[in-house]
Amino acid sequence: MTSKHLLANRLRTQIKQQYIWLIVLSAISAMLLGFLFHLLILPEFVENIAISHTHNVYDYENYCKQLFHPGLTMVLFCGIGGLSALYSFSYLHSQKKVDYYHSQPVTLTNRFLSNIFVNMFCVILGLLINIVCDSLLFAIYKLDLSLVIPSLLLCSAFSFLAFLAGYCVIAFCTILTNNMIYTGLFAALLILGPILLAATISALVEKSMRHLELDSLWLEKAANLSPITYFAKNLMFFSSICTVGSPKVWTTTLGIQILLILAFFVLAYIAFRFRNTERASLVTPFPWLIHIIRVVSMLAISSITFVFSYVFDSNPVLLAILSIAIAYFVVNFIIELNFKDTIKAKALIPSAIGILIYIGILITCNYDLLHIDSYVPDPSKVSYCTLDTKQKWKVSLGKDINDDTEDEDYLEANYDNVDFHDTAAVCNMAKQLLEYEKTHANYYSDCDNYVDCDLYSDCDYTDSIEITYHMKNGSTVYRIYKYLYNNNNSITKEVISSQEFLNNALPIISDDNYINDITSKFNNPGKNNLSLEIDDAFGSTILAEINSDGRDELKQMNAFIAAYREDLKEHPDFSLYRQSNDDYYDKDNNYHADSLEFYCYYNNSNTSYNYVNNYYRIPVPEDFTHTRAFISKYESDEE
Amino acid sequence: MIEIKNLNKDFGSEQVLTDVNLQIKEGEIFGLIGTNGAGKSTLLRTITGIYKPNSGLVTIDGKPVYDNPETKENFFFVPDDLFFIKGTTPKSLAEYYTGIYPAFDTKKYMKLLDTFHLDSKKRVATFSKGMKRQVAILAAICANTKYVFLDETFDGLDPVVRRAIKKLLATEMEERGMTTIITSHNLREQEDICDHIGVLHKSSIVLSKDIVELKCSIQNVEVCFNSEEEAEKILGQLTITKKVQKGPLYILTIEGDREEVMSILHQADTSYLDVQSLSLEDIFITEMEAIGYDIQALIGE
Repeated sequence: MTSKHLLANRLRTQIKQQYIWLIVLSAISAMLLGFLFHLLILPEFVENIAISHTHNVYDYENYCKQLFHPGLTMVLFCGIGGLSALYSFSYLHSQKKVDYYHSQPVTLTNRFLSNIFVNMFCVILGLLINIVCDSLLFAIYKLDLSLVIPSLLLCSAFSFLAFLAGYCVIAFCTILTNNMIYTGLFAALLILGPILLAATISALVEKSMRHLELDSLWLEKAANLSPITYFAKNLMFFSSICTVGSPKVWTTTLGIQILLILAFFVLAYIAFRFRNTERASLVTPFPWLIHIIRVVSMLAISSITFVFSYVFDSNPVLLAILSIAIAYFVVNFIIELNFKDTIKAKALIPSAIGILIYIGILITCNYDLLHIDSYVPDPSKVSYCTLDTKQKWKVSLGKDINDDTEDEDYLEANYDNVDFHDTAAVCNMAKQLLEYEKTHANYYSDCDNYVDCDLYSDCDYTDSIEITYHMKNGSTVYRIYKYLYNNNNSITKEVISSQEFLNNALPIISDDNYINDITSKFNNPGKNNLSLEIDDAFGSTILAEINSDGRDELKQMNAFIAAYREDLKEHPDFSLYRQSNDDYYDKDNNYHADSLEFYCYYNNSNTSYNYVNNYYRIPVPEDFTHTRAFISKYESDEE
Repeated sequence: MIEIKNLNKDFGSEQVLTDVNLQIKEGEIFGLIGTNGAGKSTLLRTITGIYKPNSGLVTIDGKPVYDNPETKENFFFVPDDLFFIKGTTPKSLAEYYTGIYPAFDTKKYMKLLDTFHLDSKKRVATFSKGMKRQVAILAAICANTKYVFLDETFDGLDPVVRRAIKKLLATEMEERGMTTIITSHNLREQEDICDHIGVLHKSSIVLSKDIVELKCSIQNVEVCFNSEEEAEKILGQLTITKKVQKGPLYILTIEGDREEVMSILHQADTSYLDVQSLSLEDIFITEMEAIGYDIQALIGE
């Protein structure tokens, strides 16, 4: 049969069936709603255009983007695509339907393409009708159609792309499986699998590795492995930023999207071409796929169960056995869809491979067999390091408001993204910190394994240092070390107290560009309420608001900065003492008490204290030499 | 001609067809019989290009079948488990098939529907199992293809319709040389209609013969010899597939040309001799027993 005949035949038969009507009806309803929405908002748009007198293609584009709401459109058209694919290819799940269709004189390629083209035809027709209706409405309001039609076409093209993305992915899932439940599971695996797996790996690493942490970027990258998430995220983004007038901005990325859709289209075609139709009663038409599913599912479900059951018990051996049993039951149930067959010992080899890999990962992580956790790179291979540290400093908080006694507490200073080039010193520090753990951490003294034990007791104050080694080959290695609080920790002192670290941690000390940057806000003399912000290592912002009271504001500012720099230089170990002091002293130690607004606030949720704003009106004299900040202890409601 | 050479098909670990060799000549009605699970439907699906062979060759008129529409235009397959597109009526089915099979004879089809009292405007889904099968068979006949494959054809048909369908198939064979391949468990039916029989057992073709030839090549003989020596001498000259002795009476199933068998037996000194033709069912059972199918255990005798 010719493709023309087949296409006409397929179209006719599909229209006769109720499923296609469900899809068509939902598409029509969505379009009708869009049209009604259009009717509601168009008069206002027309009014705005009339008021502005100047309008261009962008005004129309923005209007069309309101009509084709990016998020809603993506979900709707992806959904329609998925449903259409399921409808087109679910016949493969039924032996009698396969007998009927595949005995007819139609090539497999022709059948595959005709299924897709029929659905594409329906959607394109719907979109075209929508464009015609919208354009008519624009014409009634006597708007420039030459401006609106390109915008409508562009928005429709994105909707169509979303349809194709949903279609190709679900078609691939439908062809790879033999019933709707497995199709759903497979689609869920493709959509959510990478995110779930990344979360599990992240949790496993957190449980079993002390020096390795995976951040949220890891999850975001994993999400990109899921085609639907990737399509939706990027299509939504691009459909909201792209414009007819600036095609170069988006054509490359859009090209990648189209290539990905094409890749799934090709995968679906290959699967369709080579699927074993005789395996209709089994999970998948590909015998090798079921083994992979078993191994991967055993591994994934065991790991997930292990991580989630950790809240109930912390015995890793018990948890490992429990998670294997649960995984075996769940995997068999998913595959057999029958309780009786679930408890039978089936496909032991793939299950055993999954279990062995799982146990292998657990043991490897738990005992750091590959020395991943305790790895310290060779300094000669490291280009430079980036350090993030949390250091606790004992500070005086002045007299306690309630009992008039001197109050002391720990403040946590964070130095973030400090680049450091003495790689040998950093690697040496890392090795010493690993040794330090062996003598101080609970794990080494009280526990048999890593997972079972916290590194330090909850009541201990710990400092931490995160090191990102930027390797000469372009890769990065990330590790985190924790150690008990010690203001004079000799291991970290060499690095943290070094001049390079100080300069990079607090650029105000030496970086003139930084000074220029913060003072650039200050170049508008004569205006009231100018402010100077300096972020310090304690997570606080020192905010000086300088009133224009007839004196030279720039001089005030320079005096303030000079005083602050002086303070930092005088206290190279960063024990910048912030004592209770509602005043400041000039170079002659003269007392000053009002006029300058001086904010100092702390908002560190890691400690049990919050530090509230406190400000003083202190005039900034030109001979200003020291900064002093007042820190009051705040009794929170929770306490 | 349909030609199958060294065909193998497995469903993973299960070998369903093993080294199948078969020839189906044009213009004959070929009956494919076999035990349950022998692979009849699989063989039919492989011949019609639904399944791809693991190895071996299936050709129709010298051309391969799998994914070859040129070959597939020459046959129509009516499977055991029928499927009709939702909302289909016998009339709309004709429209659908007209697009697929260029020689589909709508006029003849409508006439036959009328003859079989099938409402052409009623939805097929509302029909009984037998009526659905009638629609499918009539469509197959009217597609005017050279070959028609019918899997478990007469299931659910009443005796009158069965006879009518058989007559229709015979007419088509006579008038335009249509070749029909039928699988059925009803051997009586097969015996009535088929020219050639193929027996499939445990994934292999164990027998493929012209039905007349087959019936002449195996017979049931009841004989009483006058002496033990005579019995021993004569039985040694015959190919006996089954032997039951009840006193002096021998009940024998003997393979070989009937005339040759008769001439040997007539030479013998016997007090009683009766030769009967075997029904297809008897032949099937005999053949199955001969290749080790434990019928006694199955029927509990």
